[in-house]
Amino acid sequence: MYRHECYKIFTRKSIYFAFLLFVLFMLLPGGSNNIIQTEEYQALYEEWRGPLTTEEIELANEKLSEVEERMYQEVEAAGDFEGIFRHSMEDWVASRVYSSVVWIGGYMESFESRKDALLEKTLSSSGTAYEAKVGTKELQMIQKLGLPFGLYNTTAWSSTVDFINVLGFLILTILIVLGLSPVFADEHSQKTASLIVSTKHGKRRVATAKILASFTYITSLFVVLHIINAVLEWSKFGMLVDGGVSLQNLFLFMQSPFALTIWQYYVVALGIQFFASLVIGLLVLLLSIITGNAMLTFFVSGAIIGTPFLLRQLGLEQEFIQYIVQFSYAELMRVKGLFDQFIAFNVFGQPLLYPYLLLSIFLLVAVVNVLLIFRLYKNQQIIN
Amino acid sequence: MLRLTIENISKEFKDKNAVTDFSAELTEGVYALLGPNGAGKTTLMRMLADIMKPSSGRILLNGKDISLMGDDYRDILGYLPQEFGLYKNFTAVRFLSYFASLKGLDKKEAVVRVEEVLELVNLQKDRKRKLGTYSGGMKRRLGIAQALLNDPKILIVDEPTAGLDPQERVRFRNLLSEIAGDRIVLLSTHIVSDIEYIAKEVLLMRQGELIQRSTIEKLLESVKGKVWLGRVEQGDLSELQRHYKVGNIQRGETGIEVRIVSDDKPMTNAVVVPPTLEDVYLYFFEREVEGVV
Repeated sequence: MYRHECYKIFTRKSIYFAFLLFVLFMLLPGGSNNIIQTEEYQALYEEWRGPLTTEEIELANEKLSEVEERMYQEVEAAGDFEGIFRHSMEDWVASRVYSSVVWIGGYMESFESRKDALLEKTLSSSGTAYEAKVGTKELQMIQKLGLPFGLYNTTAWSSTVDFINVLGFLILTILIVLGLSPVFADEHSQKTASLIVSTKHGKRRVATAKILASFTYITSLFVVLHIINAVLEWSKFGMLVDGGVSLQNLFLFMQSPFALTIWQYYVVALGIQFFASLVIGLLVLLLSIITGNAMLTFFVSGAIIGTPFLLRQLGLEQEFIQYIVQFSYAELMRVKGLFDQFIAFNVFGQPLLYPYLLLSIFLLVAVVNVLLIFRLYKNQQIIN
Repeated sequence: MLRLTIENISKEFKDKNAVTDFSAELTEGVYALLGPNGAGKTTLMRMLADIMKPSSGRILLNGKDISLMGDDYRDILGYLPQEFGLYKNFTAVRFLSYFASLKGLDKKEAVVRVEEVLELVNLQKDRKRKLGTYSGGMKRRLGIAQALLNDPKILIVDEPTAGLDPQERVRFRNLLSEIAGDRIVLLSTHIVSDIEYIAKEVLLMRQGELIQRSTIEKLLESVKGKVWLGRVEQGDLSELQRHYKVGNIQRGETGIEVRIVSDDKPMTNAVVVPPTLEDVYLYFFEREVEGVV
């Protein structure tokens, strides 16, 4: 039964067409970085690579000023302020490496300031007991990080991780909704529901088979998509090096309080996105039963998942909208928002970290969803 | 012995009562469900097939409520709805294998049974063809095949011969007759000749109610002396149709021969003829339709 349900899903041409379109979109040129693949960059990078001291940052600042001055003089001498001036590769590389070091110095400073501010906050008795707990929790997490910053080549990782947040989220969501909307609904539109429901296993086991087949589709999609992405990133930026350094070395996660290395985060993010894909799959299956119409399921699912994402993009500030956005399928699927900063919610007077709360809620949603699928499917009446 | 008891079941939809207080007890044999469109036959069959719940009343199999039996009831059920679809990209073998798994047949059993039912409905040659290429009659035959896959003890078939050619109809009719010995078969049809030779009893439904339940012999007996054959001129035919239920109209060189179902003698040259099941159908159902009292 499971095999046949898989056959029904995997023989829909529309999913292959859409998948191919998305892969072609991923193949579009852009995002590659030639400088970091040069020998000059590698040589200077190796010289500066690793945790940075205050002295090193000051030295880099001086060297950056020199390079920038030299580059400016070259342009001035050539009298070409508007065109693209061809500086030497050494200068480009030096500018890149030194400015990175200087930026990192800036992060380190703001990181230390944040720690001081939190320490001050926890020591003062101005806030409520809950606020004190929140402050302590954040401080403990940040103290656990030590000094996470350094000069590392995280371009490839940055792009790979960002795929989960943006393109991966969009592609997976669209293909899941597209592939699973017809799973239950098409049995009605194709008028096969009455044949199925009147059979021995047509009210329960078939629903299990359909859910498992849908999970198989999601798993295949997820694995293939992320493998393709990893290969593309690797071909664009070279090997995924420096994955063992702190997550905070990725620009998007500078403010993150989580003590994870980049690869650890990548694994966690993939796990959460996979879980989110299954949860979204269950939502689509439930709507497929309720509406009995694949097209309607597609649009309603799209609206449920897409609206909070749209609200986020619009940047609306109201508190209830923030909640809608934070506790949405889209945020779970994008993963980034769970780890890029410290967010805690008051649960029975205790600060509970956003990712734990969101995962717990959606685990509950998934369980309720499965129960509803079985209940609605079993109790459905075939009228037409 | 199987005993399917339909106990005062009703089905109400928003705007109408499809079935009202229907009761009957069925044992092994072929039962025919006859009634005009909208009589509630399909709704009744859907409730018997456990794909629709009665608004009130219950259905019992050997004293057990089928809604409580669940899978066990559907395990011995074969159902062919009036309208059904197929998966266009499935072959007949894949389609039947899928339904074999839904019906709980194990793999080895399914392989054998699929071939058997394909032979029964004469589709072996087309077993590997995609169902999207099947004709209406072939689809109907495949539907019959899936209903028979689990060798059901209760077979419910709604208009099973619609779309079949005469040869296939006879073949299916004989098949039903053959298998009906130790099972309950309930079929609805508009083609009364389908049931004339095989039905143990006929259940007549009108506006959701069971109006008559009888053997074919008794039904024929009930309209005996009410079926007339006479000749009319072309000019008198429409007047006759306005006042009487006219069955067959046969034009010949000497005029028009008409078959009329009526309690009274419709015209002077009319003679009583032996009734057929079609006359029974006309007698019970067409009177109100035409407004004849």
